[in-house]
Amino acid sequence: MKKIVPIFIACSFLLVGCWDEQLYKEVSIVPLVGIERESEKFTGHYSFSVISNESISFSTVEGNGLSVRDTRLNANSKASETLDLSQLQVMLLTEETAKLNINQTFDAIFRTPRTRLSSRVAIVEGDITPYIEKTENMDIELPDFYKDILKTDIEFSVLPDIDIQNVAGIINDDAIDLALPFIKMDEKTGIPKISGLALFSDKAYTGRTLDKEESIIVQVLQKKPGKYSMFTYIWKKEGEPYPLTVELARYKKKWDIQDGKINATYKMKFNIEEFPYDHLDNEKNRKEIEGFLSKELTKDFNKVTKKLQEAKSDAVGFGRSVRAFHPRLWNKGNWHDTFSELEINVKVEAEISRTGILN
Amino acid sequence: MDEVKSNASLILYIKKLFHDSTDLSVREVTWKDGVGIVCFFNTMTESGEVNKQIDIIRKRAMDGLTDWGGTAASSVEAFSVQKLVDSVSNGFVAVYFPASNLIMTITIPSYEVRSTSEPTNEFVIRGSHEGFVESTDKNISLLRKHLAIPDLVIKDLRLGKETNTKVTYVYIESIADKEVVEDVKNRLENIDTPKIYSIGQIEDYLEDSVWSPFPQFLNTERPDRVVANLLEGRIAIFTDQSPAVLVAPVTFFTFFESPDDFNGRVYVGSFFRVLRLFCFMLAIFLPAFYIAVVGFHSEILPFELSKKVKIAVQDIPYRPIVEALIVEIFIEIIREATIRLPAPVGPTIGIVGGLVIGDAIVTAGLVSNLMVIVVAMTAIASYVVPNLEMNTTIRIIRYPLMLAATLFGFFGIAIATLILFIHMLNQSSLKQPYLSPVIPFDPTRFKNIFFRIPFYKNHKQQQTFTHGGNKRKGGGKT
Amino acid sequence: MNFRLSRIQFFLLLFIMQSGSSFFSFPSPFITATGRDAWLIFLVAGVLHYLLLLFYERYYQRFTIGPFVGWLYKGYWLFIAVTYLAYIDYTLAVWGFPKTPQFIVLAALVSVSLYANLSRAETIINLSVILIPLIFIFVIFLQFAWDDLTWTNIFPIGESTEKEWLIGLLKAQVAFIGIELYLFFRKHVDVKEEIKGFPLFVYQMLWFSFFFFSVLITLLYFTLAGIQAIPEPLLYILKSQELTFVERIDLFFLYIWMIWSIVTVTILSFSALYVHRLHANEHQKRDTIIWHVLLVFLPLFFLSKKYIEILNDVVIYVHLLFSVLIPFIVIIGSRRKKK
Repeated sequence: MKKIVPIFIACSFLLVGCWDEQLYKEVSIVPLVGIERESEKFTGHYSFSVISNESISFSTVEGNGLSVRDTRLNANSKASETLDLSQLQVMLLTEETAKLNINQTFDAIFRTPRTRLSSRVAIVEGDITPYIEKTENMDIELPDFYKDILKTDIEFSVLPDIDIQNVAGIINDDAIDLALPFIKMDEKTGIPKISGLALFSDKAYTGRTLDKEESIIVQVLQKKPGKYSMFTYIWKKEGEPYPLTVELARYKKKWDIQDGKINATYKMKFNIEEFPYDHLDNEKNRKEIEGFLSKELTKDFNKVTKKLQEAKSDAVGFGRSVRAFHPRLWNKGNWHDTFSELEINVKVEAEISRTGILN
Repeated sequence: MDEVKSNASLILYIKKLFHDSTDLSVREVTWKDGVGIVCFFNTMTESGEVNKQIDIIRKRAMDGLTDWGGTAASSVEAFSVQKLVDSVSNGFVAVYFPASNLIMTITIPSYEVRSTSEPTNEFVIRGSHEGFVESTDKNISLLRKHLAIPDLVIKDLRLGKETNTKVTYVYIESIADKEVVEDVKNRLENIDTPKIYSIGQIEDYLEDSVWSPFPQFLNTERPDRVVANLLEGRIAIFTDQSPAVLVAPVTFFTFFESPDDFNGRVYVGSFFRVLRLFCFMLAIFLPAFYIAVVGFHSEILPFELSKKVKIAVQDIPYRPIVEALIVEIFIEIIREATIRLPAPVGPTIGIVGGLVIGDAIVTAGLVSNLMVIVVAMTAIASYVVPNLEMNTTIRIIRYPLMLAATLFGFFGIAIATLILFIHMLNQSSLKQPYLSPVIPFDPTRFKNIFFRIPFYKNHKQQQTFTHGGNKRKGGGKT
Repeated sequence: MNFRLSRIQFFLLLFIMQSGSSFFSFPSPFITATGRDAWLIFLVAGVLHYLLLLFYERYYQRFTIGPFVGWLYKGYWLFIAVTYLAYIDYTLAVWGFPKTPQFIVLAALVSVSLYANLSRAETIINLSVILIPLIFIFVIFLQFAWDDLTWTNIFPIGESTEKEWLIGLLKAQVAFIGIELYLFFRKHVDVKEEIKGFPLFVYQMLWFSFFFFSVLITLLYFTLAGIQAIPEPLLYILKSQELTFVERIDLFFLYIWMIWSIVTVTILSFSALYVHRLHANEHQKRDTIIWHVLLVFLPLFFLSKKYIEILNDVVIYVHLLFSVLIPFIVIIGSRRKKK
């Protein structure tokens, strides 16, 4: 009798079945989502998996609703299987959506345990529909396409390496502002391409963007560059132009923060990637190039900080240092306003450390 | 004995004792003072040899030696019917002298014993290729060959009224724990059954908990393995007519040691030992893990992998547990069938079963190819453990885990693992803790689980569950 | 019950009991109450913890209890066990099992404790060993968040007000819960093994660094606003990590945490039944089963967010009563008797 009771109980468990089971064959993975928001109306575009002949492809379904979750419910009834966001790779937001508080758009994503927090977020220019529908001249599936282009540009320091979770962290931090990848449609090919960064101030998109070169500078300023960061300038000697491409090897950053003024000094070491003029074994030439680079970079870096200040967007995160060590400056008022009025001087000191195989 | 009883009726009486078995020889021989009655089973003794021995001893008696009967092969005792029956049944030659009421037993064994060969269920690559055979005497001689020391103690006892089986236990006096030896002796003596014909029966009687899926005795046919274990202070139990030897008290980790480890290089031995423990985990958890992932937690799959899994499971009509059971049971059937199949057809059927049906079952869409991979890997992994008993255990305990995974996903696996762990903590082998060097933690022996240590050190057994306590007090319930 | 502990077993038992259920839930309310100075406040709390341990070590032999105090402690442990079970069950429901009836999840959790408590005492003492590798894995995986930590988050120092300090020290008590087991099991430790002095200090440092690490990593990873929004910050950190071979590592750690909690509940049950057997030795099996039936049914009444919060708040005060006040009274009382 003693042995029978537990067996009986175990069997009755089996009969009752499994409440929270969600068979993988019955869910449809959604790797790409596009969200549009017009004050009280949300539209969600869900790219979901379709399996035919042992291969996987993605098609899109649209859903409307009063919240992000509501759009998914709506879309669900149109798709054949349950839409599951646990494999979400990329999330696209329209400019209009981003101009409203994006914390609200993300709430559903943070609240449910199943969603993936390491997916990427990007802002797209204009209407979302063309971005989420696969065109004929694209070889790979859309989710893979977005994933790959974002990954490449993160590697080349154009974009910051942030996922949804980091987005939440940055939005909730008033000492730093968000800068998300900005995607435009290439008019010639009809294929979306990354054009740079979309700048946020506080919790909303400012409408201002940076181009790719400027975006690299933001990553470098922040000291969170990707694997490679390259700069190209035209160097003129005796009226003849020579292209000069350098790769950032190592660098040191020093921020000197005073009341109403920040002096940022960057000491950088470069590898020469391309320089047809050659003769870099000559000390004089090297000094000349270093001087040229320092001047150009300082100019460009200051230009970018100006742009950030105009957008009231502290994407570099000066605020974090200010909050930690300079409470007086921090407590002056809203940091975004303080930031835009600060005097920020960036100074770059370039040094060439390697010249490649050639001299 | 009655003087009146004639020799002829005595012979008849003896024949009656053995129910007139045709292989019983009872004959009269003349002796110095009267006659001797020789009786033996001619199936177990060499008849010609009997004559020779009797001639030698008769000559000694004629020469007037006082202890004429005490030679290397014989001994003389006072007569009793029981003694006669016992010695004849065990293959001795018994000579009864009615005049002096003495009985002489002569050892002339001639029954067939297989020659030693490598046990087919425990192959090793490097190391001795000897195996035990179906005779305790021969087995003990194999042991003695390895351990030429006086400390090797061999004790016999007879069990089972009807079968009268000889059971032998062996230990090394200076290393083995006396209490454990005493315990084995008591347990063996307390076995109360008329019939003992296999070592498995003895195992059941000796085990601390018969209902546990985990073996508490190491079952081996390899002398080198027994020797290594004896040197670690364990006790070996032999029964006559069985090549298998029980070794106890063992720990869980003993089952993962192979003689190969000690013959190979240090790193190689250590690597394979860790690999075996890993395979144990793999064999137990992999199917359950797969079921939990496909049934509950598909979100843990990375994107690239998830696409592959999705394609694989999309059109399978059954729930993962049913799918798993189909393949698991199918593999068990193939395994069980190939044991019985005659050697020439065995491999053929194995291939037909494994490859052809396996492939067809996937093509037919009954089972996903991932499930076949998972189950096949598990099956292979379970055979990595160098002990047959332990790998059957592994195969059995993964079913409850699979069930738990179907009911609750990872939650079920976690609960089942905890219960399994508690069960193993409760487990003991001859009252010694089963997970010994790990729990209770013994740092000096702990590393031996994962590493085959270059030098060999003899140690005593872990004694109790309670730290530092007297084990009689702390033993708790078993 | 007659059992003996080694020094390591004793400290492991104490550590699992103290970290048990509270480890994941501890940082969030604590940091919410104190702000950026949480790590400083926890330094001070660590000193208090050490003082308490020293006090226990000095007077544990005088801590002898009769049936009345015994019943008080049994009630206390029942309360704690119910709180833990309710909390872990709530968390499981939110993170993994919204549809499964909660009494089934509870029954599964408690059945493990029942099985362990019906086994020999050594089984329970050694049960926590299963957690050692898991804790290691846990700490290692938290290191993956290294890149996302913002070091400037711990500054500026010294902004918290006196009130915040007081509340902070109170909230830090969550990490102390279970320390009273020291008084009960200290006398079972092998007399040959030294505890006073260095070993006790090692334990204190272990306990401290573990909790301090959890406070620090939470503080560095999240912004203050973020912490207020997230009740289980450490799980959330794990959830957001991206690994190449597997996603959602928080799921694994949710179950590791669950195992941790079950082991804690098992130890609690063991202690309660141990105290019970000091003065009522018959019907051991029956009493064990009754205790566990209570553990299945009582948490069912406290499974909503509201009760979870109330319980987690109240538990601090109850803990203060039982690990500071009552031991103090008992120890002083027995001192008088001696005179």
